[in-house]
Amino acid sequence: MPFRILVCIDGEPHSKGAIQWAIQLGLSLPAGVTALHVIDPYLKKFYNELYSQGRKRYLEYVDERLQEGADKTHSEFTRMCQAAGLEAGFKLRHGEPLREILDELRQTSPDLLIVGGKSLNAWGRFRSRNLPLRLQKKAGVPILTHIAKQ
Amino acid sequence: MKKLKHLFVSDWGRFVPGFLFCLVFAFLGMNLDHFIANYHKANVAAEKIPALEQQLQEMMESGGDAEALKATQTAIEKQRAAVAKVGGADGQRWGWATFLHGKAQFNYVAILLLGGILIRNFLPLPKILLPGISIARPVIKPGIIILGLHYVWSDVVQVGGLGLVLTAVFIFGTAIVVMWLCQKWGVPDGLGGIMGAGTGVCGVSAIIATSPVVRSSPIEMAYAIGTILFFGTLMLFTMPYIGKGINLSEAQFGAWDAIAILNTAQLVAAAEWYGSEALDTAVLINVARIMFLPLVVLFSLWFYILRTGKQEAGLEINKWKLVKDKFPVFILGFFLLVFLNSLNLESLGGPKIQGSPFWAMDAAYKWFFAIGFAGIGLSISFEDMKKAGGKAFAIGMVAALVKMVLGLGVVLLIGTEMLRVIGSH
Repeated sequence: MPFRILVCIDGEPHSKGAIQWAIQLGLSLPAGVTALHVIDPYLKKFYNELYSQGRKRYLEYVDERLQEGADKTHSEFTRMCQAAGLEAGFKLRHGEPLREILDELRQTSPDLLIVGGKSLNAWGRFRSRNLPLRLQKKAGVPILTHIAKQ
Repeated sequence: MKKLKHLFVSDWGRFVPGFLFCLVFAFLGMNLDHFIANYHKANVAAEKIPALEQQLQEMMESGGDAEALKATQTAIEKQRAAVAKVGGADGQRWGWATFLHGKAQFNYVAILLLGGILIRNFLPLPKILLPGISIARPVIKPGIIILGLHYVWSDVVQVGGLGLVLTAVFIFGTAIVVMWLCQKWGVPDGLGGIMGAGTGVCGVSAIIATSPVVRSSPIEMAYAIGTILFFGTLMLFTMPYIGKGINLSEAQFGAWDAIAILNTAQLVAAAEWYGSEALDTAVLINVARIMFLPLVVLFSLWFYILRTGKQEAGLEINKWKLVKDKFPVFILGFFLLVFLNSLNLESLGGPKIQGSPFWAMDAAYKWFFAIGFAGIGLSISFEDMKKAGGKAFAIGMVAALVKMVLGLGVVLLIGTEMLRVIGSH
């Protein structure tokens, strides 16, 4: 069974490093690479604020912008893979990122998970939900975390 | 039957558990408030009894007139009844209740807000409850409509008119200054637009109305919502204590609260926490404030899109539809009740006339508020507020502080009388 890598991408600059690692490993091992992008519908929960007006338009707008972000992330990933000569897969999920990534891991059991992260100070660690750290605790598969310099 | 079916959201069942949870929580909060209030009254009564007894003794010795004696005896009986209500005996004291109810202002608003925050952030709240909790907040709206019974047209003209001027100055002042500064500081239009509207009008509600117009990105919206929630929560829990600390009258606090607190649900909660007069003034000024919501959205459209020529080619903007869509229709219900209350119809009675239809409606408003406050408390998540950051945080902090200080100065200058609602008092 070929070696399989799952790389989590969110379209932010720090996930570019993770994509590059996944491409390099995919070519050198060789290994099958699949990217996972999770659309987090977090913003939608505010639609029924006390005096909010135009709720339907707001929900449509959030969907539209999140889908735009996902499309952009997908095309950037595809472009980077094509430039390196690697054929890779792309998956899209909707929901809370940690839960969706863990679900994907359970369903597909990859051999390696690659994620991108930021170098954070104490305040940044307190504020951020620190997905890479939480994944390290719960994933149950080897994880490579690419930390981007800020 | 098919038409009736359309009245229900197809997946309404998922809202039931959380909503029931809020109902039970509100019921417990109201009863705990009642329980503490009874002990507070008993404590006050127990402290009065010895002085009244001494007064009675002196009157009997000096042969005071019979009517004064009877009045003092009645007063003593009344105080004893308050003590007996909690099963107390002579000489017993309940200082803790007076501290909680009187000094710490620990009423049902504080119980539901603080209790909700503790449950949401420190207990494993099942995810199944979250959808229902989110629909509990708007239950405040029927409560606000019912509050229309507290006013007559002269209040609307005096306090509401003054509120209209105050809010116009503060809303457009804040929105214009924030948007202009954002452009000067190179803040993206999407963020500047929602921060201008959010800090100017009614917090997250304004962000929801404005974000599609100024095309904010999801990350900008998350920053802005987190910032508004953070400062709104901070002000909700500090302003009532600052107000008491500087002896602000209830009417002045209501006006200050309506000008300064960024988020509307939190504004209503802070005013109810402070007192009934504060609530009456705050709600009336806030109604004036939210009427500006469509105008601020229109202003954002002009400031960021029309003025700069960024309108997409071929895309026609229907300004009238925009104003219509963003108009908060429910305030028409509020004004209808003000109108009916002003007519002084015998068949409808009034909020103070026991047994009348308006009295029955007025008795219900606190319950709507209690369910809404339970929803607010249970929705305040530290995770959401931690999303506050970047330039949004700096803009929010400056706008919140400036509005707080200037608003306080203005209500101190205006004084209590001009801001007091007469209708219900």
